[in-house]
Amino acid sequence: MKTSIKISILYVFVGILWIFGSDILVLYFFQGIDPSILTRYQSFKGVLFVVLTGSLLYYLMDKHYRYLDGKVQELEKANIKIEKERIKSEHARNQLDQFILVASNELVEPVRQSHGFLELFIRKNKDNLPEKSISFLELTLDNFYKIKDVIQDLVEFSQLTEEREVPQLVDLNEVLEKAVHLNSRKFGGGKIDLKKGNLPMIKGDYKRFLQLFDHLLNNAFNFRDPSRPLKIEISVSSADGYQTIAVKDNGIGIESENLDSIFYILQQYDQGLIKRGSGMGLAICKKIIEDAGGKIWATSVLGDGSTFYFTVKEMVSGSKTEDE
Amino acid sequence: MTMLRIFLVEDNEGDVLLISEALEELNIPLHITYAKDGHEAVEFLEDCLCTEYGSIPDLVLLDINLPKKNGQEVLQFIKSSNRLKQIPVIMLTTSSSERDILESYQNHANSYISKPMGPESYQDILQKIESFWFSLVKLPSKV
Repeated sequence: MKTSIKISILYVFVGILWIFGSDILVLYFFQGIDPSILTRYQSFKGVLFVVLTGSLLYYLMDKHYRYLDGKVQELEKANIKIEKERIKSEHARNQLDQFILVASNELVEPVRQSHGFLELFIRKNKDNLPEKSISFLELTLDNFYKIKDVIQDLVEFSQLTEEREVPQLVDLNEVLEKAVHLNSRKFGGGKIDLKKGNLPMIKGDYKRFLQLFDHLLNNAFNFRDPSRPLKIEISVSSADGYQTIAVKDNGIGIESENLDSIFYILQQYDQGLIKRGSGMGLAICKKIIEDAGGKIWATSVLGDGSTFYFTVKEMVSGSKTEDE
Repeated sequence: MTMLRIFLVEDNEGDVLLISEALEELNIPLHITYAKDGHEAVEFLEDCLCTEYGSIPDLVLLDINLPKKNGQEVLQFIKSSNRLKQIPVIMLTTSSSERDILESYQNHANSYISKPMGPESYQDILQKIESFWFSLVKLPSKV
């Protein structure tokens, strides 16, 4: 029960008890007394009631305020603790970012050079060494490509924290066109079947949105279904001051339980097994979009394809219409 | 074919070895000079200025992260000298930082190339540099 209701009930109870009880007492002790003296006693009784209830009210309110003070102090202590924890976790996050930055940059040099020397060695000794030895070395070379991919992703990821540009007016149509152009050789000389709607103008970092489209297109390409030609459809919808851009492909699709974890650097599976995901591309996309104040998510039908959605803040000005 | 003078400014011995091997594989007459830090690079270029034009390099391959004087300072030195500024300077570096790229071009670098990270090797990169700068492009004669 609320304290205010408790106090009010107590007050009413004491008041009623006083009115009836005191009248009975006065009549018992001062029976047959002069009515003018009785009136004076009644007044005195009224004053005593006010003093008594006033004291009671003071006591209860004081007790209540003390209780509230205690709670406020507890809250303040909790706030200080939360703030300390926040600073600690921010510090840990910065340390982690720094660690990724340093580790990835420190790894670049030795990995790049070892790869270079190995490649040089294979090239110079291809005719002198047994075929089997060469194939072992070539397998090692393949592993270097994989290591380099991981390091490159890490460098790119850490640069997102390090380098921030002043937001500028960016036409997403142009950004997409550039991303397609940059990948045209990989995608088979521009033969990619890409349909796109009217992409908006946004305020953001051109390079980052280029990275975003680059990763999304590469993701669609890397997880395409080999039994059918890759189709990508990019559409836009608008709601509540945000525009949602959907990048739909007809690839192999993603299992529903992995739809969230694909956006994290590491994917955790059952029995605590941690495995690197399909590269850091989508984690980079998530960071780019969240830094720009948007959201990114995916839906998928296994075997049919996936759709990646991201939101950008809507701008008042229009955008170009163009179809590829 | 005239001898091409390449000036390589690189502090990392491994890279010097890889670059020079790749340059040798180009099978063109080359004279390669190295400097292992920015200070040594500027000293070498100052010496070139004191001698006849023949010793001035035809191309500079310049790393950014160098001890004593960094690559940007060496680049500024080259591009502020009337007799050196026409030399094509190619920044050959590990950094893919937007800041380094912008600063290099603002300092009048002729191109910016990342050291090979993908399947492309030093040999591929240097072959492209050779075919662009010494076959396709017309450079001013030294006389």
